[in-house]
Amino acid sequence: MNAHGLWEALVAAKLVDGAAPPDAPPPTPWYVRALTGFAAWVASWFVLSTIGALSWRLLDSAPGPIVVGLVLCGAAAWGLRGGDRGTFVEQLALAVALAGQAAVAFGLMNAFSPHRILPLALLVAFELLLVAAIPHRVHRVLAVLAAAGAAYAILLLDVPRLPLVPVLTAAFAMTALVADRNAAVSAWAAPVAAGLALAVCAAAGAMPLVDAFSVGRVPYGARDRMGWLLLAVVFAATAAAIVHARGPADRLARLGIGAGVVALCGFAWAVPGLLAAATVAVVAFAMARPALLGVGLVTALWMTAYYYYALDASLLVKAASLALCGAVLVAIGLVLPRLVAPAEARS
Amino acid sequence: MSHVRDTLLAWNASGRLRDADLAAALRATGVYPDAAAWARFLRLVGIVAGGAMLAAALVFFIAHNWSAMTRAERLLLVEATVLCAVVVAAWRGPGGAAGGTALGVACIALGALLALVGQSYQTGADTDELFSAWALAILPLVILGRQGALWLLWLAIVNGAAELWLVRILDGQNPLQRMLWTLLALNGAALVAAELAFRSGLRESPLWVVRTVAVASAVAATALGLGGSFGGGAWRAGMGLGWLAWLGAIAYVYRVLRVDVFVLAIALASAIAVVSVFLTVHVFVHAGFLAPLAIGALVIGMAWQGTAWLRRIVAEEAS
Repeated sequence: MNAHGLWEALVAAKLVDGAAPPDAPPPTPWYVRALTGFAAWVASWFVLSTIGALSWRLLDSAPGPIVVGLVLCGAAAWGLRGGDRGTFVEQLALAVALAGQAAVAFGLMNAFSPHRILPLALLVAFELLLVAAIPHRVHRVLAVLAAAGAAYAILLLDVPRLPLVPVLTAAFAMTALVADRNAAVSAWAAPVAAGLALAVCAAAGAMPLVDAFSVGRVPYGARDRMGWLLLAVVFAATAAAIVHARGPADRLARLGIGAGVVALCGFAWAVPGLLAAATVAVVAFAMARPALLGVGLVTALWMTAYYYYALDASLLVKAASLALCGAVLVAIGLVLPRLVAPAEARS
Repeated sequence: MSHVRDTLLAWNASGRLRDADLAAALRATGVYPDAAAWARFLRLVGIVAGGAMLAAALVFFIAHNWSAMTRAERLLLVEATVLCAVVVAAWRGPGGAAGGTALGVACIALGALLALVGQSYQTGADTDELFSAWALAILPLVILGRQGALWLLWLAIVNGAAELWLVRILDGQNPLQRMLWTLLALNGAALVAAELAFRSGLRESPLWVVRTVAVASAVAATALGLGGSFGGGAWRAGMGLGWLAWLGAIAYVYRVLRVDVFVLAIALASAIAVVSVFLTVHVFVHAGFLAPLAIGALVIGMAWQGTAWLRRIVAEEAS
């Protein structure tokens, strides 16, 4: 549908009036933005190497890398703020921003060594400050990922009871569901939600590696029942919010969806990460974000496959839980669509 | 859909569309899923996820009782799984979600059956022969199913068979180089087939299947290019030329014959990765402290021109 056809559809729905606005340039697809981020990440290594070679004496001191990093981030902020300065400046500024953040991270870890929690916490705060300060879509996604990565490192190293993944999942759901409130909110909420979704799926997907290589403590895995409970609450609350706002009005259809939520939460007792991935998938579908939907579904599949290796239950218990949950989901898949569509037709 | 959303948000930012009407506008223009879309989503996820869980439950149950079962019981159980899955697919029709899921279960169970036969009767077959037999055995089901996901499963098994075969027969004779060439040829041929099927409008090859196979060929080609970046010699140069040939073919097909910005973006990412590594290996270590600056500038330049080019193509396609 072109812009003129869109405007006509809105006029017909009495949502706008007057002549159609002039055509705007088409938006950049998400995969072109992802390419921009990837290229900036590659270039940032070379930028950092150059800065390191030119200022190695400065970098030798404790605050040196932090100062250099802050200068680089400041320069990048100038390049990425203030409207369209062209693709070259955008690309260069992104690379410089990533190099600057790497320098600040290195400087913080060096300055506070051998302590780890404080510099990582400062890094989280710094990245969140950059999310607010630099209004660039790709940069916001990368900064959120960096903040989540630093927070995850705290979790793995020293604070295994930190409910990070449930908090990230809840933050994702809340941010994504308000992202279309208006253009000003969408400018920060959409990239932040994308970054959080990627962070949630990366954390869930990394759980098998954490278990397999015993890297630190298991952050929220099979042995953390509080993590499962929090994720179940987040998933159920998110599903309820979506159903309330946009779901079927029919009571039977809502009961069916509720049954599916309960079945999935029960099954995810041994692999709580599945609920995080399911939350991402459901919200992404509701908000029409197909790339995030794909990420959520692939992560959910991975978590289900990982279930085989989870050590908390015998194979017989796993088989029974899979059969029960699978039977409920198949029943929902066969019966619920017949309730949802006619219910909407009646309402 | 993202184009529609961005247009509506732009109108909201300019004041032509009020905040209070934005959600209604997103629904009216089909950005948000309607009841029919939700019904399809719930149906697909319920049946596919539920079917996969039931299949996994069976596998776990078999694994739990494995040691207590006789050879005949094990074989009968897996054969019954294959048969039931095929019956369900025939009953529901192979083209739908339920039938397609059942065919997928049948394909995976056939692999388990072949592995079990090989293990039970000590046939002496190597793993690559098992994968080859698996690919051959499921081919009729994949053809009957006419679903892209089944063809991707088959392609993954064929890739596995090729890799394992090469590792076995080329023990100590440049297996990595020949494996990368083989994988590039295999996935390149798959991409050609997927593209031709897509253009013919065959339901086996929707756009997402073509793009998935394109990613697979890009991984193989990029690995070939990266392999050719290290060291010297004619065979390394050959790997680099192979990657360049793939890059040229992708650029021609997806810019001239059928525009697909996603595939072009993948090719550009491959170019950035290979060029960066090549320059790092051959220039960085010899050229002093300004080398990283030059390489970084080149990468930024490639990305700058590349994304500008892709955006021009997007604008051309939109107009």
